[in-house]
Amino acid sequence: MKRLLAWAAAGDWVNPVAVKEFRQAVQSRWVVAVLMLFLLVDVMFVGSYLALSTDVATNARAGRTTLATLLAILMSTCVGFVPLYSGIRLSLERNDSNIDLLFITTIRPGAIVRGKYLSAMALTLLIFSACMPFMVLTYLLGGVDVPTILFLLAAGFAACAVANALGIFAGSVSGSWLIRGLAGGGCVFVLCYLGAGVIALLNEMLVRGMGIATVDAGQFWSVLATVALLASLTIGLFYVLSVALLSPVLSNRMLLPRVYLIASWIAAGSVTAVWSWHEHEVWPIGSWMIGSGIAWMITAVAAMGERDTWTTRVRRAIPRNPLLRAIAFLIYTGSAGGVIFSGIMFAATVGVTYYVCYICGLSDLRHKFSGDSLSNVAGSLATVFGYILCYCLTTAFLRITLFRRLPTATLALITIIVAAFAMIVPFLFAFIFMERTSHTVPWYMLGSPMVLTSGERFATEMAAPVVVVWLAVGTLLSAPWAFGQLRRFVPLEEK
Amino acid sequence: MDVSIVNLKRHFGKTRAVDDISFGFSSGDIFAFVGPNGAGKTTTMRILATLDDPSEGNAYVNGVSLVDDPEKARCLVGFMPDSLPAHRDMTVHDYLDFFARAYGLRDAKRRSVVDSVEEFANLKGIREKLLRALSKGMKQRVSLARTLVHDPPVLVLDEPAAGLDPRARVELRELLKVLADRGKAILISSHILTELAEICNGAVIIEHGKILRAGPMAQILTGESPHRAVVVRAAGETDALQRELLQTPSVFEVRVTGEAVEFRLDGGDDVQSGVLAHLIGKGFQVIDYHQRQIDLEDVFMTVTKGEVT
Repeated sequence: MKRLLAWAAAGDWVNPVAVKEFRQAVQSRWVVAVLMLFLLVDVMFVGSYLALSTDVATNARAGRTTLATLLAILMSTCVGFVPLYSGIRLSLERNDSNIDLLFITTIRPGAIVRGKYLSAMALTLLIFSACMPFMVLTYLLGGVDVPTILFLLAAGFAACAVANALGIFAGSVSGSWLIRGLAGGGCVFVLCYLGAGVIALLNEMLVRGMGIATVDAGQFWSVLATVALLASLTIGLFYVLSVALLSPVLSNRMLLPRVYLIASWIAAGSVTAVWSWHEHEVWPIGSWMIGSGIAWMITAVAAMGERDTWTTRVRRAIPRNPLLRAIAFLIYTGSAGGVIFSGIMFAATVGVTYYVCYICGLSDLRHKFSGDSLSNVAGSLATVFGYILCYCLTTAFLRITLFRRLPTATLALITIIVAAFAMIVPFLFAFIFMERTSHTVPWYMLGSPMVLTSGERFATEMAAPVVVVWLAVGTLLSAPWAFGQLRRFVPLEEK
Repeated sequence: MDVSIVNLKRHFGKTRAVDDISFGFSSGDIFAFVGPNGAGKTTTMRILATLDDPSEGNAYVNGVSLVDDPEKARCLVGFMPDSLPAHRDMTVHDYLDFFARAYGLRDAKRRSVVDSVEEFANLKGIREKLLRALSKGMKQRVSLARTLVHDPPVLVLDEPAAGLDPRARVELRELLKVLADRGKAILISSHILTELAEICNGAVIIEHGKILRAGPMAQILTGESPHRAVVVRAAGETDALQRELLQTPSVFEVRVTGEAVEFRLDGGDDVQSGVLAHLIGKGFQVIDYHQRQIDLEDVFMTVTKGEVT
């Protein structure tokens, strides 16, 4: 009796959103319908295979064939349905015209995201558990061992964990139906790729088998650890971004994502640095440099959509110490701070990469990396990042001259439009009006980082100077935008 | 518990949904928040519920800023929106239980609170029904119960009587009176002004996002009656009575209301008694002659233009 009471009391401490979601899932016609359909498809497939296949008893690979199909059905259901179900539910609850009053309770955005995620994972687990009897059957049919089945299920479950985090992130996006539709469309697109990729990967692993030879192979555990780390970091990133999106607009919503990005940057950098040192190879730290570089490019563009004034609640948290305030300016919500933060982190990424190469004895910067030298890759990456900064600074200049009254959230979109304009319009102009037939790259296409892919010496040599000049002019012209924000970024008491 | 709204503004592009409004109310008050459609009532209430952020200005509940400390303010405010509960696939009890959990209530306290709000809102008989199976009136009750689940000292109720049948409206009125007696500060919007006038001790009239009148009900009603309304009923000849009144000095806005005739009078008691004497002198058999109390509807019709922003 005491144990029962203890269990009942423990139930009180379960995330309320998770409890609500479980209860709603039980009542949901969608969940029941998908679960029934899933079981029906599995039963029909296994039944027809057993009934129609003539060599089930003699085919040594019958279990493997069956498992491959069952995994495809399982992954299609879990990656296709659960993230969309969770994301759509969350998006509907954030509908402005009929908002879920959950958002005005004292429950924190983090708890909401965790509750949603927990319930999505529980639903995934439910579908996995429904699949278990069929998995046992594959073992009995032969051609596949238990460790392989368990490993493949674990890998599939990890992929579902990433997919669920993505679905909840897409569902957290607020705004008009158009914006939410775009977020949903993007999510579906990524889920399709993820689902297809995971099915292909699981099939490949099934063909190879997860025997002792594979597990004992030198790179198995390091690859597994890296993939697990990347998956965990991705889930964490979606989590902090979802929390930021669910947080009140006036709050310091970007602080958590920026701190998280720094932490993941350090964690991933440390792992890849050790790997480079251990293997005496450039590619682990080089991959980190490229991945981090792309992340800082996205961060810079996203930062343009952040606020350029601060509310009382944010200003209360601004430190008085000038040094701490400077750091806060970079990591708190704010467009100029966000762009400068991205620039600093990008420079640090390249610097750390070179330093790691140096201390690992890979001091020859022409060390081959993916068919190119590291210095070439770093140079190209820096040029592309320079272009991104140019677009941001151009948007900042437009902000203080033409778009003073536009909401700050639209500036990220304007940055993308500026980039698209610089990349596409000169090309279209040349194509339509100048009847350009040769493959040479004219000067007016230097506004786009795509010139780096042209392979022409003129373009690749001119891109960097163009970026430097553009950055210098852009910095001068947008200085009032950045300095204005710096002036406004003061603690509440001082103003 | 004092609620004060200070220079609140909410702009959507060029539209000024709420344009620099200020007013306040306290514990035990039931304040009517009235205005034509699109006047800015719901926007203001959403800001009070921390569902929206003002463009400028602030609102305070006992000194706690709804803009700067929304998390703290949420414990103090209960909001009942004009839309009905969104969770169609939950039972009434699970719905209330969830919100009790969301407000951090645990164990026996949570169960006791949910029981008591179910009792108060008369939901005991339908606690295991799914929300999608409830009538609109029942859903309104559930919504009110949810608003009360964390026992907030301030209630913001947006059109709570919309779509309710007469019995449910009477019951709602009684519930609100009980809540005000318990010390809740209540801001309520409704288009049924006669009902509001019965229970409210203050009012805010808003149009185009601007406040036209605000303050205690007595002040609003007396302050808005430069001309008294008089009702007269005479045996037969209502049309003749109307014609006569139209020709009488100091009388205007004459209209027939059933068997009686209502008119506005420019003047005091002496003019009112003079008009009665005039009618009797003209041979009308006056059965009833009294001054009608100005109500919220009269004030509303007088001060608003009925235009939508």
